[in-house]
Amino acid sequence: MATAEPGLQAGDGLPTITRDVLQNTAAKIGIRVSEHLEEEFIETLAAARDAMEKVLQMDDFYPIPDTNRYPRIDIQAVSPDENPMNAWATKVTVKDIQPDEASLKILAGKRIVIKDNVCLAGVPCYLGTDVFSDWLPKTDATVVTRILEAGGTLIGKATCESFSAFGISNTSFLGPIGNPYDKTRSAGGSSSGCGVLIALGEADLAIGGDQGGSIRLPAAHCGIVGLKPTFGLVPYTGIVSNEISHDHTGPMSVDVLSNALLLRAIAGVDGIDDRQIAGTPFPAQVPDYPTLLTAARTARSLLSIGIPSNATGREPGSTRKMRVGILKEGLEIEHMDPHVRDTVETAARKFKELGAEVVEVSVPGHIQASLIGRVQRVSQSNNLLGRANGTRQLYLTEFIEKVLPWTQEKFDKLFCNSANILISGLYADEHYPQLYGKTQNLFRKLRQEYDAVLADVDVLVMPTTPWVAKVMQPRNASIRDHYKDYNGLAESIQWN
Amino acid sequence: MLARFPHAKICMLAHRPRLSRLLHASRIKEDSRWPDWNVVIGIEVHAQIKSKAKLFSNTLTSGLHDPPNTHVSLYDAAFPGTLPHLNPKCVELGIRMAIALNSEVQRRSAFDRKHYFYADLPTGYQITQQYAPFAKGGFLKLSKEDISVRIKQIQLEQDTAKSTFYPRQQHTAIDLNRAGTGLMEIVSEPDLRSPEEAGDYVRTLQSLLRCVGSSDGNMEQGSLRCDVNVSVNRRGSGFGTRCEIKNLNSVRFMMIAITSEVRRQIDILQSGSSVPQETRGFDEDRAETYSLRNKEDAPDYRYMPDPNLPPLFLEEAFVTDIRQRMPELPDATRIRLQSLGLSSRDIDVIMDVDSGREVGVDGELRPGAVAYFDSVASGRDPRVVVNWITHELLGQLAFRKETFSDNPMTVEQMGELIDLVQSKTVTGTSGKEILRHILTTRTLNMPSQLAEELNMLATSDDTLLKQWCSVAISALPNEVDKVRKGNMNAINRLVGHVMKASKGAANAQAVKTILTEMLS
Repeated sequence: MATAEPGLQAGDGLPTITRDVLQNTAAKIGIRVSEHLEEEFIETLAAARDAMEKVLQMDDFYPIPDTNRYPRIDIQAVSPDENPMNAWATKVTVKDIQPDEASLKILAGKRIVIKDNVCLAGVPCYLGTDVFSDWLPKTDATVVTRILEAGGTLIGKATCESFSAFGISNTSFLGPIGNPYDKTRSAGGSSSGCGVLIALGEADLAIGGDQGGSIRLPAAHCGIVGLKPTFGLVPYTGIVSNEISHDHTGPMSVDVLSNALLLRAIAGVDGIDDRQIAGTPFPAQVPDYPTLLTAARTARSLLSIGIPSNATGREPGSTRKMRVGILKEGLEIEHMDPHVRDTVETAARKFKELGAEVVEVSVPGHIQASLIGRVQRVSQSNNLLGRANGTRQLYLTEFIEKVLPWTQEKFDKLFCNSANILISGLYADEHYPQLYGKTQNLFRKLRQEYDAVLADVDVLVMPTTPWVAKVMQPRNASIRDHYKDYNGLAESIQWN
Repeated sequence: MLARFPHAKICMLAHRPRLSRLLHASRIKEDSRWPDWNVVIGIEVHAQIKSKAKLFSNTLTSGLHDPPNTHVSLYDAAFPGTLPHLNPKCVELGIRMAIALNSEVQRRSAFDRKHYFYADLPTGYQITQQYAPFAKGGFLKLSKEDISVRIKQIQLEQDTAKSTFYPRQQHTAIDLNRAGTGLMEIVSEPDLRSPEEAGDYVRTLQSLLRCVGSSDGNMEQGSLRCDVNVSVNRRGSGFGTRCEIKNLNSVRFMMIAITSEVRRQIDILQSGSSVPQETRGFDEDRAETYSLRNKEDAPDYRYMPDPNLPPLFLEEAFVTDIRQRMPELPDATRIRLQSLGLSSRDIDVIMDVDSGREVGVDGELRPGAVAYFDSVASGRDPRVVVNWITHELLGQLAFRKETFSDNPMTVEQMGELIDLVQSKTVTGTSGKEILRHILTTRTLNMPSQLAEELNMLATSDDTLLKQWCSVAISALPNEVDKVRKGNMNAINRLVGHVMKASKGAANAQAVKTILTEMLS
């Protein structure tokens, strides 16, 4: 490709690599390529660009969903009459066309909705935003495939908050999602639609997503069971990422037993997602969670813990009471409503009546966890900038192409919280590029503090939210007003 | 007896489904006895756990001949205020069987009370694991046919006491010796399709139980009992209504009972009626089943979690530890023996003897015929060794109406004997004589010493051989005549004469050569 002239032919649309392009690129980190090297650099940069263009023109590679066996039937937008809570994003029916076989499987007969950040091939994905509006994913998320292969029936997608980035249910462009108990109040977010549809009984089970509370907040506000599984236990493949160390997807349900059932169907490595860190079981090794629960037979038995046989010689059968630790600092976080605190504490103490030991434990660092967590979220905006992150996974490049490039129009449509994260991320990029790494280090320190406490107790208990569901601000309220109701909603990313 | 009261079958939670369920359900076996009909059989096997102590008390378990009511603690007799304490050995023996059946040991299981009133059940309930068994799933490959039978679950439970009815006095005697002994109930899926497959299943299970040391598995003595569920259906239609047959105390009777039950159900269906679901007994004299009662449902038993027993937690490390100390399973033994070049016939003989070995208490593994073979064959030609064991040793034991457990011949004795014959230090004939001598006298002397004492060292002393040959030639003139006329078969009688004179110490081949020379 080398020619005598400085300045080489460009591929498609982008300006030719010239001295200016070269030096402007270098100037981004405040340096200049020496004059006598310019020609060589232009040549190598052009060669690199040429190679990039070639790969860009190749077909991308996505898992191919089995739409013959699991066809997408009756895809429809939901009319406002049928959608008083705005909880439905899209209705569709997807199930096995071989009902005899499906009827033998563990999710047979279950009506399941998925959060609208989960890919379901051929069905619109809105992600609670109108920054783009025409995204039809071409693949199924692993959780979708597993649900269908376990005999479940998908009945639609549940509205989620804008870019799954807010804990209050007033940010989706589809409209505010009302709490089933009081339509004016927040249903919690960002898996808001899932929480509402389960609470209303319109679906039996739901797949939510949780980065900073997005499964647990709607579960708490809607009075259902939401589980944020151990990081990596459930593959995040084919779901829009917020931040790779925050991404969780997990089951939401009316009760614990059906939650365990859905977890059993979706857990285990899928061989695609690097977020499934070492120690994650293969699907065949996933414990039979529902049976483990029913095998307990009584509450007292459920609150018993087996003493490892190596502690008692080789004799099985010794048990002790489960020790429930109430996290002192969990009750002391800022803005805590004393009614919420008392209710949670009373509920936790109930375990004593049922046969467990209940003790108070302290992790002083917990008070700072939400500050570090907030900084971790605002010190980078890789997902909004479409940046890769160095892990092996299914990259939803088609989604990035919808979001990028940013335009004024798109930016203006972005909900203020996401817009704020985008700006603060750019700022941190420039001024504190090491900060994100530091938050990860500090969380590791904090985890050691929790682990030390967990050596003595089996579970930690604390409130999910500091207050009961609040009356929602209008979507176009000031960012300050939005944050008044948002800052302090518990996060748990220090445990990821 | 436990068998009198059936276990209600309730599906609590659907198992993780498998495609194999469809495949199994659709397996059809052609049977000329009942063309156009499918027979579907599932078996619940109750195997008494061969533990030293009972399942929930430290009373020693009893043998068949112990005097009645001599192995009874206050707990076994259900005195108020006594509490159960789980015997970990019973759990270990159960896990061994679960591993052998490729079953999945559950991390958490629990005990329930199943209530019914009967004189041989002092508490009024049996402690069982119906709803939360310690092992689920698995399969057993039958030994005769290439069929794999799925296991549904394995649970620990208590045995009942024994009641004996004396017709003349019109009273029933209760013996609490057996009350509270550990049982494991092994429940199969309905994967069996003929009485013969059912027989094969129970026999294979028996030898596996003995192999892992979990149970004697002896039906005649009551340490293994079967409840058999049988249904029939016309080809192409779904499963029929099943009947459960109780109180079967041998594999042979079980197969007869199934055959008769199949015929009975087919007759009912052919007459246009339907088979009522019920529990049936088996009349051995008339070889037919008879109705005992209608089927009970779970509510009849008033199941409830036993409040005195904590849940049973079995961590992976505990199971792994047992897995690592498991004895070799029959399939593996067979493959290993095949690779040593043994014939299928020899392997059958030696493994059959092996599975009859006595099972030690608490899973103690006692060496059987296979272990004996392995020790003797170490450093020797396995085919020669197996010949000596199956033909000479087992043959002689059988002749004496003794079993392998009576065998007095040590591994060292057998090994040296084979070495003496292989090195031609004694002849084969002498070797067999020494073996008989050891079995008769039960001496602990080594064969080399015995050969010397009994003058059986093979002699290659030509002078002596020639001397014996001359004696034989003069003693049997008729045979000498025949040989000289060319009838070489006649020489065998001369050789026999020499062998007798030498008490087997002469090498027959050498004698034949000398005789041929002398007579030519």
